[in-house]
Amino acid sequence: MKPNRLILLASLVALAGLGRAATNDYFAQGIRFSSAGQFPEAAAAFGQAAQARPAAGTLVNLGIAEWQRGRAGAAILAWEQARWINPFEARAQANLKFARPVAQVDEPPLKWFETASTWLPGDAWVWLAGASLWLAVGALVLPGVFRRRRAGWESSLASLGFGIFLVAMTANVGVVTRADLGVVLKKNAPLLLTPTRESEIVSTLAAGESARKLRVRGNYYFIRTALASGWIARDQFGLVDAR
Amino acid sequence: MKFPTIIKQFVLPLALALGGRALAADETNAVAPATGRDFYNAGTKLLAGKKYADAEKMFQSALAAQDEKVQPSALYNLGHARFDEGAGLLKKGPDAQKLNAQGNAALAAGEHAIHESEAALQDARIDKLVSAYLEGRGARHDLRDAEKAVQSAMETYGKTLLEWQRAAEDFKGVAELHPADTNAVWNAKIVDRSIANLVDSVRRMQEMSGRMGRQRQDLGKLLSKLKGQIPAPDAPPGAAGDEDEDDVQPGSLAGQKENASHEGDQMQIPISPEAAGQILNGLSLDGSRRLPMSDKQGAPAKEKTGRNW
Repeated sequence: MKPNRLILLASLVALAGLGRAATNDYFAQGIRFSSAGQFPEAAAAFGQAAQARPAAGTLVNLGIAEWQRGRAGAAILAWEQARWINPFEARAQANLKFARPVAQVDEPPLKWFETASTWLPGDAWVWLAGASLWLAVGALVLPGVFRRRRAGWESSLASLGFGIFLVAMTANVGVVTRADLGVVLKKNAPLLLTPTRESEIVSTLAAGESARKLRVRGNYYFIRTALASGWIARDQFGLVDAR
Repeated sequence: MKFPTIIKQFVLPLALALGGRALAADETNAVAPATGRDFYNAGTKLLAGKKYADAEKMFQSALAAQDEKVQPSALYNLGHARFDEGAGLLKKGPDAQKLNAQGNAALAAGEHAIHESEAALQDARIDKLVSAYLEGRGARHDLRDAEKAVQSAMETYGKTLLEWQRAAEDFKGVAELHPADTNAVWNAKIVDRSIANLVDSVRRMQEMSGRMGRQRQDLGKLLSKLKGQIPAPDAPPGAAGDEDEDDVQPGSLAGQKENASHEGDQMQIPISPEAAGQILNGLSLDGSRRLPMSDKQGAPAKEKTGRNW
């Protein structure tokens, strides 16, 4: 390897290390501010940490800080994002169970394949679909490649692989449609008839209310809640899949 | 049967029946709008027919359909419908010039009456007091009428303002959706200018209404003073009951609270034994006379022949 390339690689590794250190700094700052009861500062620190490296734990803490400073919408969104990254995050689940009745909002209504998609993290379903497909294909093709008769267990393995592949694909569809779910961030956020600044207001939404994004136009999302549909300004609606 | 008779008896009624049926079918086939485009078209027809309120509803439905192609045009026409609706309200409402003239005349009459009343109070001549009193009463009546007219006009202006504000927002919305639509920008400017003019008129009217209210109060006080100085035999007719309904001040109601106790306070009025006897014997009239009681049995009441309503 040439010396120039070595230097470049080393500097990249160093930069990654610095970034991680900075994220850890923000996280540590957030913890300190939370312990001191300075929740707005804590929320800002956790927010920066989550932006740099989204992690379920950071988002749970961000949600707690937001809840403590009275922002129910932002708190519910942070916990939903934590669950999106890690569906097994028990604290996020418990906090959502507590917060939704207090904020008087309902859980988003999920279709069956969306519910199935919550059993594993979104990325895991992609890996599972790929692995199961290759397993099934391998179990079917490899005996032929090695010029031997296919055994019974190989056929069963292929069937199992295809079965898992189908389930994983359905769950992947659920992951894709669930990515359009979001949470209203501000209290009494206006739901507009048209995507314009001075539009007529269809209704107002409570902070923390769940809705599904259907379209985007300019600075507005067209969303559907349990009771109404209309346009909402982008800064008043956070998507569960922050990416 | 002759041919013309056949036509008369069968063909004509048949043709009429078929024609009627076809007409009825045409009426019932007028399909209710379902899509954004349908609502937009229906609204445009209503707008052309100057049915602004109905057109407004149709355009709102067109907007609610969220058809991106129809939305800007529907919003533009909605702005038109709202502006025209507001202008119609303004036309139907009281004439601003007449109202101004009425208000100014009432204020001038009030001013004159105040001067006359003050002069009469200083002069203290009965004939002058009576004449000033009568003039003041008339002026106060005119002021009250003008004030009512101004209030009614302000209500109309308020409704128009609401419509025009929405219209301006609609045109601005179109400009936001289609920045190239210069007509919408131009219309928004015109509506804003109309709103500014209307707001000026409302302010002038509010000011006039305030001046009239103050003058009416001043006049009311002077009239009370005049009434106090006019001896009862010289008092003009209706002087006893000419108090303005509006003259009741909130302060005068302050003492009329319901007592907290259930029993209530007993009135402590000294009463003589004679008066007590009168009260017990019958209703007292003028302090001494009792209600006249007949000592005769009398004839039975006549049977009413009138219509029983």
